[in-house]
Amino acid sequence: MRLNNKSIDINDSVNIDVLGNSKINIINPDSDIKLNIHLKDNSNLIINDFNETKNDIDYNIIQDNNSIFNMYHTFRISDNYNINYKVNFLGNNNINNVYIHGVSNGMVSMNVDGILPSGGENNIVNEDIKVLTIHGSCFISPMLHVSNLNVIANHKTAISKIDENIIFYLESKGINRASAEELIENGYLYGIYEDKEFIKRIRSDINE
Amino acid sequence: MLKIDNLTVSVNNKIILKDFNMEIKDSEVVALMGPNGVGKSTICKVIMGDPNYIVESGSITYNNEDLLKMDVVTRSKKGIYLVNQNPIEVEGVTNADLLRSAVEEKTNERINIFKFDKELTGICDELDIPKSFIHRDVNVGMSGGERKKNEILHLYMLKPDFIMLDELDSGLDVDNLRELSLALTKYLNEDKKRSCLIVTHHTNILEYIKPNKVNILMDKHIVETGDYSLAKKIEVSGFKGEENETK
Ligand SMILES: Nc1ncnc2c1ncn2[C@@H]1O[C@H](COP(=O)(O)OP(=O)(O)O)[C@@H](O)[C@H]1O
Ligand SMILES: [Mg+2]
Repeated sequence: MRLNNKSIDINDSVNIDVLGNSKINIINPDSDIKLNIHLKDNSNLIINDFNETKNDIDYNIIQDNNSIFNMYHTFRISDNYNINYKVNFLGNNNINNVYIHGVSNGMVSMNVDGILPSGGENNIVNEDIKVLTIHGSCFISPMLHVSNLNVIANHKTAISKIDENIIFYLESKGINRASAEELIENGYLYGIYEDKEFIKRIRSDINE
Repeated sequence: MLKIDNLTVSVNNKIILKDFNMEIKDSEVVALMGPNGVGKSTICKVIMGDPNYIVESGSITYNNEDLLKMDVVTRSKKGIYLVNQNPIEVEGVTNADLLRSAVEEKTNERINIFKFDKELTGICDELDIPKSFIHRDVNVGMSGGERKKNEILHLYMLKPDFIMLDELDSGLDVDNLRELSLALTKYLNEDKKRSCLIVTHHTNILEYIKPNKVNILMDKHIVETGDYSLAKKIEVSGFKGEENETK
């Protein structure tokens, strides 16, 4: 498949070449997803991804030159869930931003790998991963293979429990615990999307 | 009416209040004063039901019911409301989200968005709060004074009967303190059931919301009770008489 200035919906396992400005939206896939994505020179891709299913995701990203990749991924899981994410830079001047926010009520395991080979100059990787473990657990294994000094690699992960002080605060306004947790979760998840249309789609999708 | 009898409270296995007694009748405004760290915020948290604060002995009755048997949500639904000393930030949850949830749970029916928005907007006008607050995350990125205002916005929407103001004056400038105090006085006067506990270590706020009673908390319990003149005396001579700790 080839994306060129296009926005598509995916529910499958595919190889994608990206040109121009493109966007992929994924809401609750029907099966495990495997995407091999190749960002060609000067391309720009946004992935908006929301998952409440136990279907795993496996993303393999390759970036050539001067490309920008942004992934906004959230999940709310009460089963086993595996995320495999890998980025590899073949050329120079690429940006790769990965934002993952999740709520784990089950077992979540995440491998997030970045390969910044010695040949590539001025590549930037930002990984920002936050997982709220309400009634479950989470394991994150980040790996950045950096063989070039002329790159920037930022990596932030946080796994936290729900803040009981916030629960108390919401309860003191008359909101019961279940609703309080839901409010906090939704804020936590929807908060990362810059695309407000996508939030509307999630809301209508899960209310149907 | 709220009545506290011989209350002993601990936090982290440390006794903070011992044989604490206090009574707040309907339509009364009662001030609780005392130096830093004596347990003023503690008593507010206990009344609200914060699980970090353990009641070792004693009782609290609210409108002749055993308050200590009620969970936090029940206390709130029965009309108890705390304006925290440092209102907490709730990221990702807007004032509208919070209030919609709270009002729906209280009334047990789905909210009419049109009426709800109109009411919130009206309250913002009355309290001189920017309407943009409605869709801001609760207390996130707000100054100390703005957070207090934000809590009063919630209060106006939830219409509690027994209000605790924990250091409302901290973070508010004089003009804001006066305006909010006037608004609260008006709110309290609208219904005879309404009463208020003002926790402070300054007397400024008491000039605007006149207390019927002033209690001084020291050494884990109330050591002195009087009228407004007691607060004035404290302002001049401090809590311990000689050194001036009020400012
Ligand atoms: N959550 C808490 N954990 C541990 N200690 C606390 C907690 N809350 C209050 N304390 C302690 O209890 C005492 C009274 O605190 P507080 O009620 O906040 O005082 P005040 O409001 O009068 O300044 C202080 O010694 C304080 O350190
Ligand atoms: Mg205090």
